[in-house]
Amino acid sequence: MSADPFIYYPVELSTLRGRLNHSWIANGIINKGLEGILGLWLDARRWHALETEFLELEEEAERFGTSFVKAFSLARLVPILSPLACLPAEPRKMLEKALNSIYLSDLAAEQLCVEYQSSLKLLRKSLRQLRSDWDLTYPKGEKQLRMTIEELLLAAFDLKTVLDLIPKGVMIP
Amino acid sequence: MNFFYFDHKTNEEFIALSNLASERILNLVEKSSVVELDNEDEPFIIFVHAGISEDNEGECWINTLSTKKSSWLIFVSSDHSILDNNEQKQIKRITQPLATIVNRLKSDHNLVVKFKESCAKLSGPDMLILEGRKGWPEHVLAWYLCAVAEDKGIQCSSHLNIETINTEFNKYANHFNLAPLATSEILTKDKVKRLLQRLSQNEC
Repeated sequence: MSADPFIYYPVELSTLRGRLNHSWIANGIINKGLEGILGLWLDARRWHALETEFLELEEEAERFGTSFVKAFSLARLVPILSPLACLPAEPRKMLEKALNSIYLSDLAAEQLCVEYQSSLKLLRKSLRQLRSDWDLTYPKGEKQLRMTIEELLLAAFDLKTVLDLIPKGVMIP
Repeated sequence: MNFFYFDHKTNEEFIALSNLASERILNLVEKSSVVELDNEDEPFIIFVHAGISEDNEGECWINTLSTKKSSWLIFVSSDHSILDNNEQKQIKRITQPLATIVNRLKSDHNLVVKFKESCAKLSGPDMLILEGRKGWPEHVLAWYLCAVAEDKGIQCSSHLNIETINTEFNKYANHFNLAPLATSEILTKDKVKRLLQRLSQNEC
């Protein structure tokens, strides 16, 4: 990561990153906590999002994982900034290439991508396990549920840690 | 389906015809985990500033609705300025049936024209978001990117209009109480960096 990343230029994927980080992982999972999720299970297993929105967000999270390296590249600003439209084709292309190279070396974006995908895989596995355990009955299933939720929370923390390292948009060095 | 567009600052309402910007707005709304459209009720309109900032990234306005599980149609204001987290005071709600408002807006040609103009600005790649940065000094930023690339041996700043860049820099420097360029002073990356930092802090 660059020593002084100070400005983010948001693009479409910035919004998705926000949804994943805040709406899903933070508000949807972590902030509920062990007791909160357990409470939903005890309350007639009422957690609609687990079987609906979360499935969609998991897919969105996959899309983010395969897109952010390219989408957050500094080179993305070249076609966006109108004053650069006057550049002849060749210098423009070289500018994009140079900026992309700066971006990749500063951020270690590709390494972040690997870490993100690995964390996401773990979280999806935990969610699958939770869905599988969700039909267990109280009190017999409580111990198992607690274990599964703990794993889910750890996986969510893990993914959030990685997401926090990913820029909130195009990072201007 | 018709889409609405609203700017709570000017209290203007526009009707949107099918266009990329409104589709994207709707797409965002449809994908939200917290907004529900309830067919049993007449839909209402909720007006929101969709903000992009350091930590909310445009989704805070959706979060704000999380406790209001009812029938909503969501609109985004024209300037996409920053919405502080949970600042519900920035959200306005009209409790008239949607059809009434649709008909009223459709009858006002000027509103339709104005809305189309607004949407045209938003229809480029990622412009929905970038519009939120319309206060950014684009010329200065363009120059800065060229200057950064020059460290890699790429020469392209000579293609830019340095007068325009300097003028824009001075305008923003004045606004943020930074020293403008003196006569014949040359712009530097450090100066631009300070300006962008100031701008960024101001926005977030």
